[in-house]
Amino acid sequence: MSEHEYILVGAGVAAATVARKLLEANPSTSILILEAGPEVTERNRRGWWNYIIDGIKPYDFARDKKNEYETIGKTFWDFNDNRVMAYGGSTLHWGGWSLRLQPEDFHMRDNTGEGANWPFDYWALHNYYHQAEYQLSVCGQLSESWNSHRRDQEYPVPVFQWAIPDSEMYHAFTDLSIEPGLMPIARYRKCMMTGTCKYCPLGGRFTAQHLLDEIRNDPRHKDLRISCRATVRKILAESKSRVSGVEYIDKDGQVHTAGASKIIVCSGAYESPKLLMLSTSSFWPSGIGNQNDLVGRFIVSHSMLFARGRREGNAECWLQEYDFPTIMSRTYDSPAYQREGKLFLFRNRAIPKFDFAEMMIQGRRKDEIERLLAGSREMELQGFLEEKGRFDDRLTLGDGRNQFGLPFTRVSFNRPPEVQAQAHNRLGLMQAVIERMNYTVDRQLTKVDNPGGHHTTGTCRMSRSATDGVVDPDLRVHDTDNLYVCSNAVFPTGSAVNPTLTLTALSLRLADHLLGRPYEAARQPAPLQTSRAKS
Amino acid sequence: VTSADPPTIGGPYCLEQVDAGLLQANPGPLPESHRESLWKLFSAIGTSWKNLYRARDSSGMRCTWFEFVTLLAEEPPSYLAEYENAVKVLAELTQLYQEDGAYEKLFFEVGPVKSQPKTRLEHCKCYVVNEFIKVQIVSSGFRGFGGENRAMNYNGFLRGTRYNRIEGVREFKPPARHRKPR
Repeated sequence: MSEHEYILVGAGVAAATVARKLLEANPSTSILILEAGPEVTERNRRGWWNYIIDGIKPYDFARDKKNEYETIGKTFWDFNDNRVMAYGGSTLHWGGWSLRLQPEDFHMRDNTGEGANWPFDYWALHNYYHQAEYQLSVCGQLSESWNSHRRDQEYPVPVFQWAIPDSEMYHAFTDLSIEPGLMPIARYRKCMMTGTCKYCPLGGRFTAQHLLDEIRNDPRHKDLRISCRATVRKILAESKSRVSGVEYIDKDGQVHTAGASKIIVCSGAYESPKLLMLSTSSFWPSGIGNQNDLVGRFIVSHSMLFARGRREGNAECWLQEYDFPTIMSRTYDSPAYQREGKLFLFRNRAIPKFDFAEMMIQGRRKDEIERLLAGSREMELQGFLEEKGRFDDRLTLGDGRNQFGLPFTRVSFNRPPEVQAQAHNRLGLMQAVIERMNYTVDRQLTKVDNPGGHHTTGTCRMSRSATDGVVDPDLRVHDTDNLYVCSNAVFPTGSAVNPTLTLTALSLRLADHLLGRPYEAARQPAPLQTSRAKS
Repeated sequence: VTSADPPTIGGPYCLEQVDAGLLQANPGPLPESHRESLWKLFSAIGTSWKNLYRARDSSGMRCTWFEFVTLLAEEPPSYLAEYENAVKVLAELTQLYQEDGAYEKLFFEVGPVKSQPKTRLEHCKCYVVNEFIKVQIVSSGFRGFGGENRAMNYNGFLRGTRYNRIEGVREFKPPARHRKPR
């Protein structure tokens, strides 16, 4: 049945990265990529103008709809806008924030007694992070203390400097001994504009479509096929240890099978576990890799924390400058804060906001608009709070299928009271920054929000043994020879930062494994004497 | 009619009732006569709000505006019928109030009409004037607000070669004592 060397399920950044590296090694590699979602054209000028006019992005229709998910735990799991099911995957809507995990993130269980360790340490990914930063064109700088362990690897692109609305937060940070930093961002081309980064008309922001288009348009890749609206419904097993292919359905409802020597599930933290659960057989009665009932468990994401303040007067006419944050801090994303939950801080990029067009549409004249502009301004500090994966928090199959034939999602998540208390404690730190800026805290908008599903991890977590996780350190499903998962789902911990750079690094590492190459592990350098190292 | 009712604007064409949705048309090129009438409407936005920065008129935005109306006329769903309607609304308003008076009514008196337009006049405001205002703003029209403290950047502003000599955003440089050596 092996018509292909590889079948990759999903067409996001993981599949694109693995496929590109396999094809670089051997352009005639036979690869079939099956994507459930449609192809949404990037750099489409009419689509961009529509976005300017009505705020609707061309890929918005490829998101989860409200009736397609269910949250059954005590803590609401927020699915709103958390992924895109399309060619290019969720990189179509990501902000490009590209941060490495910290060395301590790989040892969470050892350090805190909760969550899980990674089955390897930071240095196993160090060189792959570097390659990933080049692939995504990450703009960043090294001088911050949290980069003290990686001084051998410069960022490929110069950093975006702080913008003027960062200045008050910068001073509040330094007054409160919070180290200000510059956000590393994935940008292919110099920004000629901003504010509509979620759909860039110039292709300035990295998306996986860049990689997929590149490999698809290369005439040497005669055995590469990428099929959209091809929804994989089952992985076919020929024995307990070997899978032989997949069953998928096309947009017309026709059922197909395709075979491959190796199958790599690159379907994100929701669809990857669901596909394993759906792949039942006499060898795997509860789904492939699910003999210990761990598929879908340990689901975790970031909770968003918001501290909003307001002040009278905006004579400087500060406005949103970029559509991504430039000031951030990883001071609380450090070993000293790991036990009670690390916190990654950044300024809300979208405010101060002033909608000139809306004022004009309302029929206000120029002098009135300028008076309103100068009247007041708001600032908001936001944070991602790390949470630890818990056995009872899980994702399961919902009843029904969505517009692309993917099963609905059900999540049970219960945040323990002590974690809620820690979150409020962290919120107090953030509120202190707003007060230091001499802004009046907006009590209604200063809050600990629900976990947002946009950075979901843990649902097929990596482990040394099948009793503790779903995939092994090579990302192969335990007790199988030729089935892999390459997705945020394999992260044993989510840390406090965005997962895409780490996923890209893992994808590059997986490609080395598939090619039979030794891993490019790095050697840990001697520690520097920095404030972070001392903490 | 009570004293609380706003004064009626326009004549029989403007006040004709039509469905709220986009007026239907097959995609196609925008007739040149319509283009010039619509360009005058777009330019009048800049004149009425004085939102242009260091520019006498909106001519520097013409390429951007032209791309916008061309794409909206020639790709589905087509705005051709909306543009034709706007030209007729403008003609009637100009006949009734003179040219400057017509723009004054459209920009400052019709009201926001952000959804569910009921008349031909409201269609013109909702689908043409409101959208042209957004195009004005993203084409650098925001820079005329705020005097010397004006913004450098704004949602959707495409700097392009015309603005290469100005900074993209207002950068913040921290005091030297805070800066770290690279």
